[in-house]
Amino acid sequence: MDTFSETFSETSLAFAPQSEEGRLLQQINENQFAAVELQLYLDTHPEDLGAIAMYNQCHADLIRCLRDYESRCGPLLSYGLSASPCHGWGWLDGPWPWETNFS
Amino acid sequence: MWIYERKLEYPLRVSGPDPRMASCILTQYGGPQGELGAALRYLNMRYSMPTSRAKGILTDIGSEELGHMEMIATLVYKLTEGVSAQDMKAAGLDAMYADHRHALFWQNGDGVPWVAAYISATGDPVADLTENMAAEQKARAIYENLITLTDDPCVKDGLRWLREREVVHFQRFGEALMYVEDHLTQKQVYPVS
Ligand SMILES: [Fe+2]
Repeated sequence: MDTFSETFSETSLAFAPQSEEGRLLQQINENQFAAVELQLYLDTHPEDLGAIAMYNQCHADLIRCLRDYESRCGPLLSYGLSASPCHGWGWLDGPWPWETNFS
Repeated sequence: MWIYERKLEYPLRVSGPDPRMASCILTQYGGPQGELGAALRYLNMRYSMPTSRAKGILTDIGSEELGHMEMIATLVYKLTEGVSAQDMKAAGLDAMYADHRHALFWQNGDGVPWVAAYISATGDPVADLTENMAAEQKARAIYENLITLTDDPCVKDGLRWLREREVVHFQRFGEALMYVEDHLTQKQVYPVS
């Protein structure tokens, strides 16, 4: 075991969100992080068809998770990429990213 | 988290190379009233705003300014694309060419590098939103100066569009300031000296 692993292996936090909103957001984060990783990999390995298939699967899952989240928790994206609830401008509802504790 | 869109907010063209004009426009990239400074100023200020409206407008205008930064970079790129070292020198840009060739650099038209001191944030929401209104007016004035300096109708078109955005941003910051002042009055919050 290297020094880094010895020092830090016990400190990793496994978030297990309790709220519905936290759970939906975690699904988005998981799919989007996988997509970010695959995108960076594909930028330097554009010929890897298997990775492209994985990327497309992430895309499909991410879009489904986004719509799930938004239908229950409100808009996540700006500039016309998310709809607002008709009864009020949903963009201003709830905590901002620096105000949440992912509970 | 930010997501990149592989397009400009508004399409840009130039009629032909104009390295001298590119160096003037560069002030809106890395000058004191430039788009980088604007984006960082607004995004940095969000954390000390008292209302969701103010946090929202700073998030959204700050993000839009990042798109404007890309538009300015695009104008500079197009105006210097394929320009030889000799033509850069003839336009008075030999010193810039020596340091950067055709790469962009965060500087104003005179070559003064961007500094963090351009970003003002006092933590007082009224002072900070007022600062933003002034920043938008200064950026508008600089776009008008730049429009005066070019004869290229395509460059004028892009600069006019960017100028219009400063007018809208000024208006929105004014409204945000009004709501923040109302909020502070209702809450009877006074700054601790
Ligand atoms: Fe602006």
